[in-house]
Amino acid sequence: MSSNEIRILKPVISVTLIILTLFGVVFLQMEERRLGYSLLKLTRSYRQVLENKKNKEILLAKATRPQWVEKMAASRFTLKKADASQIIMLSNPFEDSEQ
Amino acid sequence: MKTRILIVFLFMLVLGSTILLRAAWLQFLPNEKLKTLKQRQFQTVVTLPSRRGPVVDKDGRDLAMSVAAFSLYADPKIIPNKRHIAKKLSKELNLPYSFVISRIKDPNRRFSWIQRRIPRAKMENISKWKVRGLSFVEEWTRIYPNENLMSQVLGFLGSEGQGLEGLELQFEEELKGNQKKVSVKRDARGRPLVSEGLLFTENPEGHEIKLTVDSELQYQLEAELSKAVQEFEAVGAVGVILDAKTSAIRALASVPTFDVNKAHKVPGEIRRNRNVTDFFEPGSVIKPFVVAKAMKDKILQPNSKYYCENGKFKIGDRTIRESDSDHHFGSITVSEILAFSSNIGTAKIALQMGADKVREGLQEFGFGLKTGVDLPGEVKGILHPLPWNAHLTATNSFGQGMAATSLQIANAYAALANGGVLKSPYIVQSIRNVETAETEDVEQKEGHRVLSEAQAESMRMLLTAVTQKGATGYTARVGGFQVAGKTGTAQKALENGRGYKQGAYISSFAGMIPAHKPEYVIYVAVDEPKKNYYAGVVAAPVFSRIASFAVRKSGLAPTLLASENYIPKRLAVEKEKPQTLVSTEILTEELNSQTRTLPDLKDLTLRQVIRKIQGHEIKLKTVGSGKVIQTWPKAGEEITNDGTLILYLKEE
Repeated sequence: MSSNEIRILKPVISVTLIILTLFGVVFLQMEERRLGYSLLKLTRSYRQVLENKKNKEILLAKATRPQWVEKMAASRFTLKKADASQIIMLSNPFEDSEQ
Repeated sequence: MKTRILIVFLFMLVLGSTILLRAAWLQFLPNEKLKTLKQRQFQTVVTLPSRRGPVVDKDGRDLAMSVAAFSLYADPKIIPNKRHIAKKLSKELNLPYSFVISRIKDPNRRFSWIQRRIPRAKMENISKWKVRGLSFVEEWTRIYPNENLMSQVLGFLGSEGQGLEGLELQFEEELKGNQKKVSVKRDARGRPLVSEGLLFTENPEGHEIKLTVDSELQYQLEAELSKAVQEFEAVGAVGVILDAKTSAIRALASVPTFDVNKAHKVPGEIRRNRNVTDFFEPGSVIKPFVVAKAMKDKILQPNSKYYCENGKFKIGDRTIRESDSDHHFGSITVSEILAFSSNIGTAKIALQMGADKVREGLQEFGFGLKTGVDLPGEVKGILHPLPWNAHLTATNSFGQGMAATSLQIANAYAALANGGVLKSPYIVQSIRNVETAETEDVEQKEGHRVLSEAQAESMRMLLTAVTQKGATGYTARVGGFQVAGKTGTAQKALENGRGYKQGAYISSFAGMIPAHKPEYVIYVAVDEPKKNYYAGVVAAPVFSRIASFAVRKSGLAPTLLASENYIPKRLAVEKEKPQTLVSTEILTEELNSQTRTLPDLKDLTLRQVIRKIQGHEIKLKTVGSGKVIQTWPKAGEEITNDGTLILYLKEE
């Protein structure tokens, strides 16, 4: 290709480059939007996970509440509350150092 | 050819340039109309409601927390096939059909709530129907996982999520947090775009409130109060547990309780935190404060004697009697006045002091004044202004004619327990900013000294007499620990304040444990018990059970009663003596600590053996369970230097 022909094609190449750049910009914008949607979806999932965690915390709090533990101890493990007479009193080995 | 190409190129250039120029014109030059249009079309404001902060106990256990829920609303104008939708909704939400149809039938309405705060699962089910005119708003719902625990203290929320009572009301500003508004771009379907999505990951959150309360103690207190109410067929009961050193509230209960998650279905009188909102004539639990003031002003000493008129004391045309009609005391000491709860003895002390000193003394201990606790609705009780006549002075000295809240009474006892300083009780330990993780401890007020340390110690010693054999508070004793306290059996005043309700009493006990170095101050009061009303029968045993749990939970070691004394000199003497802890009834033989010869342990239970070897340096090992069949070393043999004792046990 002669230098003359190249000189003639230069504007065409320039316009093509501009068009390609514009297409590139549009493509990047579309990609940004697509990523934005993915991000939104992930955000919703993340929030869902957070809520599930919170619900699990509530279940844990319910399962460890004293009245439930006492009920379970009595019904499942047939345990009874210690009677005062059953309590063995051991003297405090550190009594002297405390005083 | 060349000219044609040039013409086409120039044409395209001009066209392109024109378009670009126009675009630049629209893009870069200010145009209000276009700007508004753009904002309306592509911008949206997303409001992120603040999650209400949690409330936790002193160990971080959750007492109140918030989770996401969804509120369903309708646009009745555009809902198709209303009857069918109403039927489906009433079935899904367990609502009456008539209610649902009334919400959606009016075609002129554009907004109507159907149900607030429904769970996610139900929201997802309804969303699947894809009914036009039904939409959801995300809100928060408050969950109280412990249901009845601390119901009156925690309080509850209104339908708009605002605190209505209790701590929820008192700390509304801290708990509610600030909602966040975010302006983001949106697409044609209204979905938020791009990186702003990151902003939605977490909602703003209110502060976390950490209480001084111990959930397990709280539960124990509520359980014991409920048991007492049931056992004595009482109207209700209240109880307070304070940290003796700081006046921090460890438990605060009012029975009957209710499920805070269903607070709106409960009558107002049950929702009230009666420990701070209700005052009553406290009865004999007031006596120690009159004695304390008299001791402070050097009017009496613990061994001063007062003549108690053999049970009848006339003041003008009125007669004061002992609370127990069988009591006909002659001259008794101050210690006995408290131990047997003599009204006449206390009245005589009060009359000797004079009305102004009695009133001053009661006020110094916080009666007739608000305690300053960080709970809403606190009242100051009643302490009449001077002048008082002789009868009013006498009755006030044993807790009649004045009124106090249970928290005031407990806090006054805390002043005796902590060495004579009256502090303000408090329930909030710290407030944490969940987002920045900064914790701010709530500053406590200083308090003021009402007694010297020695006087407070003397008062504690006098109050231990109340739990000795034969005294009114004997049933408040806790094995292994000394208890100081006072019983109170008060007639219940009529609501109009004129006279007393026939057969209605408030049985109470206020005390501290361990008496020599108090850790807890506990006050319990049972309202209108029917089967019996004496505090020694009704309230003192409740105190004993709660106190027993409290000291064991906090790991306090029991003390041999003889080894502890309030007088340091005597304490030093006692400490020199070898001590044994166990009662002698089960001991058949003592271990000889000099020669370390093992006695015969055969047929004893493990518990009996433990009691027997108590106080000796012995490493106990067991094989099997049941009663002792053999030991190593054998009975009569010396225990080895390392102190090992092996027990072979067998079930009978």
